[in-house]
Amino acid sequence: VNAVDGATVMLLLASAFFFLAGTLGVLRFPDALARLHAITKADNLGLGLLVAGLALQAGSLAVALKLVLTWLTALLASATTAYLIGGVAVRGRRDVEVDD
Amino acid sequence: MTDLLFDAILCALLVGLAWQALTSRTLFRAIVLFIGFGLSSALAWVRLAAPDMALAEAAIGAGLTGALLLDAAARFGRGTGSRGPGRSVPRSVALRAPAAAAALVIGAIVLLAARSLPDAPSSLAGEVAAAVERSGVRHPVTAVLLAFRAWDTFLELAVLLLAVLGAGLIAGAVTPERAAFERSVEMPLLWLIRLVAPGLVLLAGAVLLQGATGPGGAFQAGALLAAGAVLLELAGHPTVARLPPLALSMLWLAGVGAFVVASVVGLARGRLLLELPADAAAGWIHFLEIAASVSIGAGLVSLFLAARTAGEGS
Repeated sequence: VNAVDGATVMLLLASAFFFLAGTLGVLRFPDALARLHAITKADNLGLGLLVAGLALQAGSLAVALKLVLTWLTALLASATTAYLIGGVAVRGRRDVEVDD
Repeated sequence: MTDLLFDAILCALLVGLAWQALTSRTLFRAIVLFIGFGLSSALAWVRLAAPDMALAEAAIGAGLTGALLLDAAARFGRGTGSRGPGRSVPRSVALRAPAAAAALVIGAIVLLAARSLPDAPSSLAGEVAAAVERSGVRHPVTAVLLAFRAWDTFLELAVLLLAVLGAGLIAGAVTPERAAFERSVEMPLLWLIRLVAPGLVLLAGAVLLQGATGPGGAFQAGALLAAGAVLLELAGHPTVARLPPLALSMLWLAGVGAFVVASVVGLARGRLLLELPADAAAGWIHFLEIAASVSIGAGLVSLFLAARTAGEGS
């Protein structure tokens, strides 16, 4: 096992940890905002580490850059949807407070 | 071994997601599971070495259909409501027994049919591979869709056109001039749209051209264009909504029109119907594909708009 393969294994394991933790958070956390926090960590960090690990194995710069582009696109989508869902959740909470 | 394990997990996941989607109590849950099912079956197509199918399944089956279903559920069922009295799974034994009997009979027929299949699968893959050189493109799937079986694609576009017209009739004409930025768009969504909408147009063009040499082509490009338009529409962006009806109709007709042009020009020059000239086949295929992708994009987004218009009318 050379150094690059070793680094890939470490990165993929770290990525798997974040995905696992994020999934646990989505299943266990009590409210929408906390679950969003968990799932965006999995999306952002987990996928980032996964992409970093795979980019080391890509073999060509073009493929590695495509992988990074995939990650950036996912970041964009997850950040925006998290903001929108979070906004709805916060507004819903306020409505409940007003109703009480 | 790892491949087998992965495939086994994927199969179990597909069956599990399908079952959960069919039996789930709330519409919203069922739709989310359906989208998950679509993405998983896209993965299955990748495992079956059919990336063209995977792209189409992910873009149309999961993405666009999912958006359509979510929008419909939000409009008609208030999203999280239960399925109410019209549950899809009949509950009484009186209903279940005939359903089970019918399923058994159909299953037996399918089993018999599968047993009578010839041992050696009849495949045209060899002929396609041998003839792909002469088609004008290098990707066999595109060669089949636009050259060898262009007639099928022509009729598929006609079917899509009819579906769009039908949906338009039911929805009372797709005249979406109503929406002029109904909601104020939140800033991050606006940034996303500014980045993603032009990006999707670029990507659609790239996927379209890539169809000549690899997986990609008109259907996937059209789905990407439609996805961009759906994003704009969902955010209340006026671009799609303000498209004049005549322009939209022209876009619908582009695909069928291009095939008609190709047919008429070919017949006038003494060729067979939709037979492309050997020296200019690549150009004709690009012409047909560009028109088809525009029509597919406009058609899919029109179906989406029609559903929204119908939802508002009720």
